[in-house]
Amino acid sequence: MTNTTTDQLFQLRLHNKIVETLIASSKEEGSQRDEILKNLFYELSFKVEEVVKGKSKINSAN
Amino acid sequence: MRSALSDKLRKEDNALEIPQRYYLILSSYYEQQPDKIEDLLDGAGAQLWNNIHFQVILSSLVHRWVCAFISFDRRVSSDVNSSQLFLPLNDTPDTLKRLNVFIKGANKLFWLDLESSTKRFYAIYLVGPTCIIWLLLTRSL
Repeated sequence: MTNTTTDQLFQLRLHNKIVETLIASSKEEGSQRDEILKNLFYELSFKVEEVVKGKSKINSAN
Repeated sequence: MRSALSDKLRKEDNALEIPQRYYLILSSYYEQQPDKIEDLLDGAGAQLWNNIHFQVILSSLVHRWVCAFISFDRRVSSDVNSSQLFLPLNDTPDTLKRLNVFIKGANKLFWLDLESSTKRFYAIYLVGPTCIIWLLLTRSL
């Protein structure tokens, strides 16, 4: 499996996780919804060194 | 739908040594596979559109797509006469709504970076609104 394929799988898993989180947040209301979205936003802003090297450290995306 | 502008942005990211972050990886993904954005919007539902956190999330994820979309539009419009300029944006209400959310999110990210003296979201607020302004100047939306 090439690095490109690994990256695409990584991206797809992240995408699926985000969609799941958005669906979960849309079912909540008020501060709980804000908390879920806020956490998702901060996770998105984290650095990902592993992806550049082609390693899939994606426990959080499973 | 990769464009010369997108390639240029990527080179600039590398030149500026912007660290790889989750949102940058995903924004490249949505640029290459714009159909997946619909999954995001479907998952969000109408109730999230006014949420400040959703706005910044969406803005960070689709900023590359916005630029690719606009440069694609420019490439098409340069080949056709003026009466056909609106062809790529025939879904105008949805497009405007999305661009509006994108601009709001980019604005919030700019202030977030400014207040914390960081450049975490530099790629979004530097490039995204510039593309939107370019779109507004070259089209009569």
